[in-house]
Amino acid sequence: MPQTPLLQGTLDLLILKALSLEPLHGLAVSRRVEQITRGAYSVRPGSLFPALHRLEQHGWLAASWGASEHNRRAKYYRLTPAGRRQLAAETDEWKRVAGAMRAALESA
Amino acid sequence: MRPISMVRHIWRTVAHRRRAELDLDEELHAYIELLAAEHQRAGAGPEAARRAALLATGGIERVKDETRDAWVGESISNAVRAVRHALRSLARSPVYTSTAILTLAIGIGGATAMITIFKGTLLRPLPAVRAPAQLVSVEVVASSGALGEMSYPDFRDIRGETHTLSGLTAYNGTPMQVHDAAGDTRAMVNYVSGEFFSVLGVRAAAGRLLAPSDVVPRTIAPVVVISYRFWQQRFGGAVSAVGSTLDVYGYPLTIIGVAPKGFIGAMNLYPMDLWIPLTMLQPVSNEGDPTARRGDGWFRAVGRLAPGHTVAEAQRELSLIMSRLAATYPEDRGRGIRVFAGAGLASYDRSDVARLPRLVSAAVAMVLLIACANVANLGLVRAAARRRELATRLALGASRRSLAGRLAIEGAILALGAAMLGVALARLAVWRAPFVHTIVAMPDADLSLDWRVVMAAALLALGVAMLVSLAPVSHAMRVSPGAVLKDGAAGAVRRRSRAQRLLVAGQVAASLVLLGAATAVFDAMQRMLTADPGFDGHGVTYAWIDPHTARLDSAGQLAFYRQVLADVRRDANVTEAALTSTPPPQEWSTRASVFRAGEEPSREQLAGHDFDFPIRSYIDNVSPALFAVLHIPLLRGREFTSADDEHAAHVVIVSRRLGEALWPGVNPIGKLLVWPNLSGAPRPPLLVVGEVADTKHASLADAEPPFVMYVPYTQERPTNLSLLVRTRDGAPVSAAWIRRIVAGIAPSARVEEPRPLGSVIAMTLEPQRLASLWIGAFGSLALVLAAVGLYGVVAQGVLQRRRELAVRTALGARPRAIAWLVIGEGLALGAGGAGAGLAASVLAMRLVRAELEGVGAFDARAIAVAAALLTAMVLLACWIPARRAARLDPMVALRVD
Repeated sequence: MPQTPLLQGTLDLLILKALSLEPLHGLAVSRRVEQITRGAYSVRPGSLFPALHRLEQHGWLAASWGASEHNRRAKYYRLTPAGRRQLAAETDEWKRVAGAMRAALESA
Repeated sequence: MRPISMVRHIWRTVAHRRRAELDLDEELHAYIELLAAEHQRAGAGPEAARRAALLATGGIERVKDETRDAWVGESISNAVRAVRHALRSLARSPVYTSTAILTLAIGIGGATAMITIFKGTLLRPLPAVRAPAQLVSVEVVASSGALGEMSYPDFRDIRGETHTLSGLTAYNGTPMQVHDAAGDTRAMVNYVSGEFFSVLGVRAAAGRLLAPSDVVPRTIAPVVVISYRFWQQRFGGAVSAVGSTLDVYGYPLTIIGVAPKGFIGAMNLYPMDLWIPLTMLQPVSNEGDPTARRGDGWFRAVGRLAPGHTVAEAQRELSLIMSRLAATYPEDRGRGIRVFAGAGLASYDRSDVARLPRLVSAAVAMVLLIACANVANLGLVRAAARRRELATRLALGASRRSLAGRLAIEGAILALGAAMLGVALARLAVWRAPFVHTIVAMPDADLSLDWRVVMAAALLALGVAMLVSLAPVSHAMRVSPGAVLKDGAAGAVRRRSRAQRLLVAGQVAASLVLLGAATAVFDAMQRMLTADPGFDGHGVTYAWIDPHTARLDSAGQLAFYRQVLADVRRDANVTEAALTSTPPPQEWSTRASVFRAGEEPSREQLAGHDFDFPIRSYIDNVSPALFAVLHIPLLRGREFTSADDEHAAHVVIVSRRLGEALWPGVNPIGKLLVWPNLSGAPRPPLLVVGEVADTKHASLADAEPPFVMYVPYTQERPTNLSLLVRTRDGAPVSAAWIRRIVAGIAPSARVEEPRPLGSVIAMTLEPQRLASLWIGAFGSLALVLAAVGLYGVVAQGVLQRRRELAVRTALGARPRAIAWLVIGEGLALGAGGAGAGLAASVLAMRLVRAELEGVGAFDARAIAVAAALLTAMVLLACWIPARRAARLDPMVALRVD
């Protein structure tokens, strides 16, 4: 699948977005990101886990241990209310930047 | 991030490290298993799925590392880990660690204690005065260049003219007999000018302090101010003390007030008990009013800088005033003036009292130096031992920077430990007050540790520890790890061992210097103790007798003394008794310039220049039989008799050296000697009637006996006399016995506690005794340190030559030959150091001799003793490694690598 380098800060936003529906464990987060970006991004564990831990420490994610689909104990992440607010704020910010960029690039 | 959440996460990262690590591990393994399950679902076999999952994850340890980096508090945690690692590493070599810490601590502790004692005593600002930084001391420079005290007329003129000083006060102090309701005591009495308390800026604790209006002739209602301590001790702090009467030197003075707590006057080394107007000084002096003559310096002076003026400006202005005075008054001819910043110490105190602390400080500095060298040496030994460990780490990919960081942390831990222990040692040292008083006698010194000193000591420790700890890295950075690892333990590191050898040799040299100095001082003291002082004080008791309080006239005093002598002699146990104004050894006795009759200068020439003439003699007012009491041999002529009384012709007995100086090569008997009187009626020439052997009159430490002349106490009125009694059985006489005799003649006369002359004589050698004790203690310390250093080097040498020694043993060398091989190496080092130390000793001795009287220039015996001690230590230090080398099992040694 084609790989697009992630823009600075986009990984955090993608993870928050990936977790906005339901709590997921690490691998599932990675798969969900691939899915919602239609395969443009695949997150390697060397980037995924530092980001998850960072977001958890910011208080945007909360982690708890749960049983996976194969009855394997896995660590599940979910959005906290603060995380939800952060997602909304970052989404707005992103839209503003993306809109501005598009306008700038499409102007003749 | 919210602060609370941050703290929680830091806590988790740092304190619950294990838990966090386990969680991370499990999380990643779950990831891999889930990934493998995906692969299996896609049709792969279990093994292939697992391999593919591991491959896709890309190294579980790397992921862990990257994730940990995201943790807050990770840097703190890293530091904690590094410290723990360093502690473990130090704990693995307990001998190195404890020796390094203890060595540095002793050096730091000693230096800190000495500086604290200096700052708390000699260098402290005057206690309980306002703004001591504004105070200056003013001293007169005689035409000979010597600094000295100021005459009252000069003081009055300078005080009247100065603008750079907002105030100037004159004072001096002396111990005096004091009598109050509680009985007799001896008190330090300060006689001061009227502005004394206002210049120093102190307020009364009770009553009021002296004011210029109190400085009136002593016949008019004289007053006294007492110190807070005196108030507490003698009056229990009662308010009624103010207004009561205190008898000072036979004069009733009214107490008008109490000085504030902690105030000791203006002499830092001599805390004062009483302050009286300087007009009260007259009865103390037997040469008329000391405040009247411009020629005689009686006073120290302290001034306060006027706002906006500097010491240099005051110096310029006072020099101008002094040069005007010198042009006006012949007594001031050739005189100058010096203004010093700060009050509390006269230049005399600075040079004289500071001698012992200076010597001890030099010894401490040397020990600190040796300590640093020793630690550096230990560090080098350890560095050699760690070469392989460091090389291995480098080979396994540790960065040199992280390695240096680790070693630096070890250094910092060493330094911290040493600084803490050193401060504790210093604290212990200055806390023991008697310990301090062996260096400077000062009862109320402020000896709290100065934190700036502590910081400086800690920084020094840090510097040394860093140097020592980082030495192996600098080496490791130059050499490729492969070379070191291939080299093996047997590869001798020549360059390093040269630095080490130099350090050890330096230590040996330094400790030889210290030991040599200590032995020399000790020898000198023994010599002085056993040397013939020219008189025999054993079995002689002396007591100061003061008839002033009995208010006797001149004839009455003579009658009193005569009667005392007669009554004392009546006792069957008394073989001889005599009176003297200066029982030997007496440092504070009168000296004056003397001349051959007909060659004496005029009184104008003499005024103010008494010190400039070559022959200055001690003057001892004595009764007949003094020479018999003290066993001073009469060389020529006759002793004094009772016929040499106030009505007879004035006579004098000279010491041998004085006779020789005045009339070289000629019999002095029958010559006339002139001892000019500075004021009042001219003194007639004195007929020399006898010549006695020289005595070390002032101090046993004097290199040469001074000039002494003896005059009958009946012909010169001395201020007070001491009674000397020699007993048949040699036992000291009792105070009660003397008091009973004196009370029978004049009930109100005072008697000071009698003391055996022998103990007083030994006391004059106290500085020598203490110096030898201190330098000896530090010298031994230095020797032990040097031995430890030597041991380290020799032991390491054995370690490095293990293979060679094993081969020698295997080839049939006897164990004894092997041991001597090792000892020989140590001895060579010791000898090298001793040679350098010998050369340095010559210089060191010169320093000691300049500071302490009676010490020989080059004391060969002292050096020999020190060298013998050193050799013994060297042999001991080599013995252990040599034994180990001799017992080396070649099979074991060769198999090690």
